[in-house]
Amino acid sequence: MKPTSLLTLPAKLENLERFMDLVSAFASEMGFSGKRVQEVQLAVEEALVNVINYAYPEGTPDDVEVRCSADEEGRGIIEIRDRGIPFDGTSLSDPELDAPISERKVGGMGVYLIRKMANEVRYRREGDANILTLAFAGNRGK
Amino acid sequence: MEMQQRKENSATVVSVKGRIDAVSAPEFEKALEDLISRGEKLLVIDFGELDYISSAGLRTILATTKKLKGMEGKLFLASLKEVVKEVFDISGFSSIIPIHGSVEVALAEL
Repeated sequence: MKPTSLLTLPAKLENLERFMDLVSAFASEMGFSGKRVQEVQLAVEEALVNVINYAYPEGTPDDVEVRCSADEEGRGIIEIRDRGIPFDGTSLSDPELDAPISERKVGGMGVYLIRKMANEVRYRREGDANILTLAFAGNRGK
Repeated sequence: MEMQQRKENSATVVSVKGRIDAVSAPEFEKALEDLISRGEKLLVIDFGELDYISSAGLRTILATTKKLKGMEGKLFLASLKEVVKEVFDISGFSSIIPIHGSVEVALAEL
């Protein structure tokens, strides 16, 4: 039986820990190393923080859903779904990693870390929902 | 996240344990801001017991480093675990923030 789990909670920072616990338990069940579990958590945190900060204009808080499953190749698939304003992080360009310190910004770093930690990142808009799908093999592999 | 501070001559060593994520990063940032406002300008951040850092933590390190640079201060990182080091490497922060193998080495380099 492949592990599947799902958690839906209001898109608020105070719920981050519960999502992290879910993802951590799932990645461990997948047999991932301790290091890989942390990398999965990092990617999911960055995706959730984007939803928490930007998906819902102030005064219209709504839910975010995290769904974990495994695909036929044994990869962990984590879907992050919100009903906020359309946002496709996969369309952003990479941050300038060699800029001098005075010009360095952290904006865009979250999406970049997601890209580096996950083996595959897909985005789709389905009805009024943003769906970000992250696939994780046992190693980052890049 | 747990933090401890100690003075080492003119420097302050801040040891951070646990996780620096979007929830705990503001507390970490506030602690560093308080130190700077008390006149502490030489900071060694001991990450020997830090298990996890996300971009929220990187943002704090970057903001604090920029602030110190404008006042001839320094921020060094020490004793990063593999997963934390990886985040600094991937983000390119390893090339702009001095990282040392141990607190002792960092203190000697300040």
